[in-house]
Amino acid sequence: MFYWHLLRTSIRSSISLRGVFLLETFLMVGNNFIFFILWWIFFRQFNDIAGWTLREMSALLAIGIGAYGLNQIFCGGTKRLSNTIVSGELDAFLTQPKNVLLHIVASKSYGKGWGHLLTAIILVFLEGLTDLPTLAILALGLICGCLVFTSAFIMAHSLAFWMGPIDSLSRKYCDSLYVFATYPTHIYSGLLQTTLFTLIPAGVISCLPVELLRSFEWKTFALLLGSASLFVFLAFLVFNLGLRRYESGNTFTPRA
Amino acid sequence: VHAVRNYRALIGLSVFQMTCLLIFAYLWKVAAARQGALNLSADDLLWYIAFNECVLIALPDLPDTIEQDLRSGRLAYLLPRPISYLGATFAEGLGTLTVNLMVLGIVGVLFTWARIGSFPFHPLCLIPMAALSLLAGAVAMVFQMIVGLSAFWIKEVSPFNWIWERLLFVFGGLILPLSVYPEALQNIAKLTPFEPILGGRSGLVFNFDLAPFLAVVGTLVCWGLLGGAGLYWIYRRGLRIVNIEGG
Repeated sequence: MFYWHLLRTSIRSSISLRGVFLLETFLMVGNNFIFFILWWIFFRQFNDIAGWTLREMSALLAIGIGAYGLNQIFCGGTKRLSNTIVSGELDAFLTQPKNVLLHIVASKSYGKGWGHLLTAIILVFLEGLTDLPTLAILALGLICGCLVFTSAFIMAHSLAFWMGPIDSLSRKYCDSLYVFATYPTHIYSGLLQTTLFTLIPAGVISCLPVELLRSFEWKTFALLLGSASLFVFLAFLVFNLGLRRYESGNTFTPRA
Repeated sequence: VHAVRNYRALIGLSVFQMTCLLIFAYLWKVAAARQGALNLSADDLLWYIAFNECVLIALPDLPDTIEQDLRSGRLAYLLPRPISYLGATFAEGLGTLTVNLMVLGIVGVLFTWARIGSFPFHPLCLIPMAALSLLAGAVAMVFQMIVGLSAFWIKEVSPFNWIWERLLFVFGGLILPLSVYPEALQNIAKLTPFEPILGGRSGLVFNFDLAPFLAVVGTLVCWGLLGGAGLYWIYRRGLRIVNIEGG
């Protein structure tokens, strides 16, 4: 309940400047569709990539971009986590009798996330991915993708507990995960394939749901749910282990 | 010096660059069987993308820097100095760009060479290509600064920066040479600075010749001058608002 109240406040804050919010949303949709043009040109040239056509690619983009949007809307606090740790701003969260990680995660919401989400919705309608089973799988993919994005971001930023100021590295890891999640991951093999389902879990975010769309199998379904749950568990584990090493920054940071 | 000291960021950029190159290496391996319509082989395409990515990733985040200067009021402290704010920001960015380009250039060339195992061009071509990359990066910075100056009128410049970057991807021919684009898009791309900054420049390496090299240099210089004039004009107009509002 606390999480939802906090989230509601964060979301209200992110959309309070209506003009800026609408401009960001509109430009983010434009930005994503300019990227989509690249893929349209690509598939115009090659028709398919290892069996995937523009339809599968659109589903992948809808899930990858949409899940990232959900992360920015509902779990935006992960974006600056390493900075929060290093600067000692964690003190403000630790003094309150609520779950620290949930508090941090819901403490910020980014308006541009709505632009990503809107892009996903437009892509779904544009490619006619609108029958009920497809929509259900897409929704599941979006939720699991958001959880995996959030968990991976938390783990990457939590390394600051051990390694100090690694903000730029953590951010590049997060960028790389987003980039991988918006490219087809089924074409890789060997060690890279393993990496994309573990260290950089882009495959879990976008490849598994698209494979489910192509042909539903309970094994893939269980793999998707199991992987998302495992990543959430690991995120809590890594953060709490790191928290034991945290030392106060002795800084006063008012939070309105 | 500041950019060299910030070695963590350079490591991050290098990792990001290799991530992108890895994606495209696999993508082109899969698509290689059906790329008859392209003039370039899968290996050539990876080199092409490596040259594109190098400049793209090396660009400093000038829109964000300018936005921060305006938001934080730092501009008010910088204006009375006996050097131009635009000139100082550009020079600082050029320093970062040069260091980033040197590191990312070496990482990109070594990574691509390690994956492919050969150079589809004479290795000496890398010298003029490096100089051209610096020029292309400098021109891109001028346009980035124009995006940054929009902070005089709007709260956040990042949405405009995203659009600028995505247009650079598409009209620059980031992952595919412009020759495979629909004709209408090709015609639009030719009217923009994006093509010489990315694809037009990178494509030179495969049949390196002085005449096309100088043509790209000339186009970049023209766009740089045009962008610079636009930048100065927008800056003067922006300063008027700062004065009216008391800084």
